[in-house]
Amino acid sequence: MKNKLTIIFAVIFLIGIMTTGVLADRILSNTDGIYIQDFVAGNTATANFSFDYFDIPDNEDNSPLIIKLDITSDDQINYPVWKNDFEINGYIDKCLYTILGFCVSPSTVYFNCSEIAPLTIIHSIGLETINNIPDGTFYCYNEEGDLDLNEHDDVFLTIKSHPALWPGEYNLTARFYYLNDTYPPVVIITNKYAFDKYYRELDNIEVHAEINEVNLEDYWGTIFADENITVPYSHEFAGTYYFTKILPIDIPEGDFELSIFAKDSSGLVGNDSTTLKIDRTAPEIILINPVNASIYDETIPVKLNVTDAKSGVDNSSVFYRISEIVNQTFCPSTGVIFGNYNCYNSGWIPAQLNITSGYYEDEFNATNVTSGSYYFEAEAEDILGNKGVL
Amino acid sequence: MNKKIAISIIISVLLIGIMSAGLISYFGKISTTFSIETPIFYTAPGHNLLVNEKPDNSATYTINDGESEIFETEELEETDFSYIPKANFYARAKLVYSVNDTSQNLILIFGYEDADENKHEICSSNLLIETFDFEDYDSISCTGTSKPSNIKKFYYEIKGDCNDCEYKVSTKAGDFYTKIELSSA
Repeated sequence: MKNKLTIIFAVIFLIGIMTTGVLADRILSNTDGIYIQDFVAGNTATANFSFDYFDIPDNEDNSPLIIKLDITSDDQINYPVWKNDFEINGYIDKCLYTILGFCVSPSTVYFNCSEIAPLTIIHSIGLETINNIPDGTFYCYNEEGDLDLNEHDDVFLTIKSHPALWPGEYNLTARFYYLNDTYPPVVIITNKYAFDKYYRELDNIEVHAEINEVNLEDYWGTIFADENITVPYSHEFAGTYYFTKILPIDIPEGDFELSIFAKDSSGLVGNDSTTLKIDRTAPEIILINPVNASIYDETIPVKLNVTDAKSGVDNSSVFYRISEIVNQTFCPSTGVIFGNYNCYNSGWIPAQLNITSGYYEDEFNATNVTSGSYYFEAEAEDILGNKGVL
Repeated sequence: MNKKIAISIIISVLLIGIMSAGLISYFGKISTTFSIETPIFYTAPGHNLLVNEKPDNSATYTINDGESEIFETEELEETDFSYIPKANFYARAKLVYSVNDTSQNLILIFGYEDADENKHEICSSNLLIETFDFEDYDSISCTGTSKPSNIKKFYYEIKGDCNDCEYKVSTKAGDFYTKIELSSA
């Protein structure tokens, strides 16, 4: 049983080692240094080192440049390094790329180093608070000092020492600290005003969005209807992302959340939303006049109450028609029935909106219409084209 | 027994998780070594005590009887010694007056001031002044008895040790400096 346990632990330990090796990311190339001369306690020394950050797998652009410095003595038990033994600051000479050894696009970024906890490192991709900083450890960073791909960096340190330092051998180690991205992308829909109105099936919608993210990886839109509808990315122009969609024919009526999402390389997702309003309901038509089964002479007053609760009535789309009833059959628009019998059909006649009454009205001239029974119809559309009939 | 194995496996997997999570934060390690030597404190005009910096000018001070001249560094970041220091004194001094022309002692003191401005003596040594001409005295040393702590300033105090005499002390002459060289005890 002991042997079994031993074997199991050994396998797990090996897995741990392999896993930690696989999980290492971001690689510095051509490291050179650290160069520092021996110095006298109480003096200020300089140190420098350099490296390249190539565009290779696992290296990300705009990676935070945070340097962790550890200074220890050769005898940390008897002569440990304590807080205030050193004070460090420095700068980085950055070179975006070189041509024949000549640096193109150089820049200098200054940074301070802190050994005091808690220390909150604030960066454009997130922040991290370090609650415990051991003696002799410093964190150096400047938010502007990102690691850009294919960049060459020369790091210069100024190390001020306390006169009380133990005279002996010391070790200086620089590690590059990887900051986890904790900030999701910031998404802002800039044309929400376009969704103050109603839409219907087969309408084309376009969403404009601003997306702010250093390591943007993906972006898309979604309409959360009965089933989610993807609103695909179309193009980008002048910093605005465009998403367009022809609404499906079976999109139901209702108010639905329309969201634009953006995801960064760390998997963090940000979004902004607006409401997409779908109107598939036709206007309601209530006949005020003519009254059913009434007898009219030369003039028939037409009065219709047409309302639409959502997108509104298209005032130019309200019509009525009067058709002669022959042998319980309505006269068609051709005016001929049963093969060769002429009958009366007025055709569609517009009714005008009376602003005062709010009704759609007209005066039908029945002078040339023969006596008989007639069928009255009406139709109207909302501004989206949803048609209702009476 | 199977339960024990299962628990052990679970704990081990958790440990792997912890190890892995800590290790992925760092990359790109670069190291070097360097040596640090002990400092030298130089007396300077204005009762200053310069750290590792030779003064350009000199000054001469008169000490009567049991009086002191104290030279202090600027305020430093508060820290502690991690070792017991040994002070090696250098002094340029002479007698001006002494009863019956007898030799007199100067007391050389190395100390520090803490954050509350309290002075603490690290160690001291006597220097016998025998002449009425300036002499350069070296290799006078003393060793502390403990590791000083909460240090804000260092001082070099030169104190008379007589009832009726007068000394003169000079901060430098030529390549000789009145100073303290530190070493580890």
